[in-house]
Amino acid sequence: MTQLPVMLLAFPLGMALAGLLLARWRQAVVVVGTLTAVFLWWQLTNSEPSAEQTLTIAGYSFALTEMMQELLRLLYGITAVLFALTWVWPSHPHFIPAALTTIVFFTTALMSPNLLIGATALCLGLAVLAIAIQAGRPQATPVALRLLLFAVLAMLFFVLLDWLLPFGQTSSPVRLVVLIALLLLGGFPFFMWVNRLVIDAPLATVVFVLGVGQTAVLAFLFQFLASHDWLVADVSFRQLLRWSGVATALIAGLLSIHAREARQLLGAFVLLDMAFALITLTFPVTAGWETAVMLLLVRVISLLLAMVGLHLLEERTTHAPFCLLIFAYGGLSLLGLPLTIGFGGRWVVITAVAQQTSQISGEVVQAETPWLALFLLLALAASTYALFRFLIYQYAPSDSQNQLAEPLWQRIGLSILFIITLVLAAFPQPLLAYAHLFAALLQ
Amino acid sequence: MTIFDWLERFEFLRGLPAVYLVMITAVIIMIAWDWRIVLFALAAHYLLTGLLFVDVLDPRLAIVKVLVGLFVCLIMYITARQVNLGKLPPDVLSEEAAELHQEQRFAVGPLRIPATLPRRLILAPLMITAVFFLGQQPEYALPLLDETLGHFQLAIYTLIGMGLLGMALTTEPWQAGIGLLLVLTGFELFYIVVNQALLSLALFASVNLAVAVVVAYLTQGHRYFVAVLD
Repeated sequence: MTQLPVMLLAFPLGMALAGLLLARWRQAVVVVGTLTAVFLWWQLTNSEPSAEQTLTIAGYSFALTEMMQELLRLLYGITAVLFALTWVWPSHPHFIPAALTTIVFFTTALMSPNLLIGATALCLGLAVLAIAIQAGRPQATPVALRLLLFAVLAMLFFVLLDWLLPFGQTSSPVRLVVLIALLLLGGFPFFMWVNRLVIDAPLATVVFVLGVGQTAVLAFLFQFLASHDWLVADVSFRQLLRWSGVATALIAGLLSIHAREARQLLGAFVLLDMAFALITLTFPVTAGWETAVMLLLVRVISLLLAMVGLHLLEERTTHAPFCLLIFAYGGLSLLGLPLTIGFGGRWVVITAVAQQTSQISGEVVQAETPWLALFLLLALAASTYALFRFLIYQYAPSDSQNQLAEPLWQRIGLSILFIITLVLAAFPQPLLAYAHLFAALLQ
Repeated sequence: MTIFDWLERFEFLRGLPAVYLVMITAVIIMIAWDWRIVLFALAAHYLLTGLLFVDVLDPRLAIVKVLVGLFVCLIMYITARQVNLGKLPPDVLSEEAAELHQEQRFAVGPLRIPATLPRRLILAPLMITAVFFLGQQPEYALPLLDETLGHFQLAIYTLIGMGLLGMALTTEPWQAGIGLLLVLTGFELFYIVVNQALLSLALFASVNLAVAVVVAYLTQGHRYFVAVLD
């Protein structure tokens, strides 16, 4: 049965082309993009997982596994929400076609068991993502160019890796995988594009790149590690990645202290979250993937919350307590503080790094030193201080005479949003169960 | 004339002469500030690396790499013409275009020379010197390059080194893209020695074209004057 794989590869490309042709009518592009994402999400939801869902092109097979199906369902669900939000907070007309094309390349990468094809498709997807990032905005060109450069370099390293792996379990593949992970996941020293992206780009672009894009990259890396689990057992692999993650987190903490504007702060928080996601690659594969999915789900929700609040704040010149509440809660969730939805994932990573041995979902994780955990906590503390300093500044008395209250509908909507996320923070079982489902499907 | 006739005609360039010419084209690409000269050097670079590929590949496959390279040059040419690279449109003042953060240029007689030219003039020879030095150190010898392909090492190091340097010295997407294409070619020269599979040829061709298209889009967007002037 090849219908679903063909649909996943061909239909979004066709709709992307339609979107390009309709670029003069922004609302039409939004409708086309949203309906496409919803339709594909619905198809993936109603399709029975089957071992026979393979597609063969030129002798190379592309298999749609149950896990891939679930992952793509998640990605298209998020994408549908983001496309719908571009009705309210517009992106460039090229964003939606570029995003759909990116997902097609990611789908190809995830479906291909051949590392060369998968890595090339991933690189092409990230290259098209660079287009989505810039989308006609000159100030975003450096960020897009950096992402393109890192994607191409990562692909070249993948090609070398494909050549070296048959020679056995040596140190070269270990270093190559570490480099690839740092390049693609914004690890130190390849982190400079993250902050700029959050500062410059529209809401949908930021969440798409840092949510959907990073999810696909992590899924590809975990898929690779699942078939080469000796890498995770290698001590130098774990050390290099963990220390890089810690370095990234410390830099994020420094950036947050230096931040003077909300977007700079948010960029630093996202970089901090990406540092934690990087560290999950050092856990046993199943446990690491489960934790990574949890972190990514939280990142998308928190980022959406924070950016919605931020956009509403930027539209107003007076105090807007409800908007600020949503932004603050989104920021706190990104930091992973207690009583937020981000706490669970953050706690798992810190305890796993801190303890000499730890049990995560029944698998033993070996830790080398408690200093890593201390540095991570230091970065979190710095970022938390920066957030509260920003909030205090926002609540400072202003000279504004005419303070218009937020509209009632906005206050009600934001309150509902806040209550939902509080409930998720108090009862995270749905998120944990969803992350656990992905871990089970990877096995 | 067939491919084999052309190869016979240019037999005198094969081997080390092609490598030296590739190095010269890489230096020209690094130093030249006029996009026409850069593009001409890039086209020459692809033709000369085609001669190197023939040492490893079947000529009918090597010509595909040359054709891909020439398509890339065509994409870059059209992009440069469309955005009037290196110049402002006649109805746009330099104050209005200040937001573009273009590379600073100084007038020297009739020429407008980029401010980064002195740096390029110093760094390009330094890079060539470093490449020659590295090439002679046994510990930096690339694996699987036997004596018949020893000249490849010089070309590989030059292209990758110059490409990375070119990307580091500019913020303009068009110039940075050219640097990235040089890096890709340098890597392909190495990888083709270890793997001549059709799949890898096809994948590298697609990546080269994709990079050219993305760079073209980024260049167009970077010089999107309507957004700047509004």
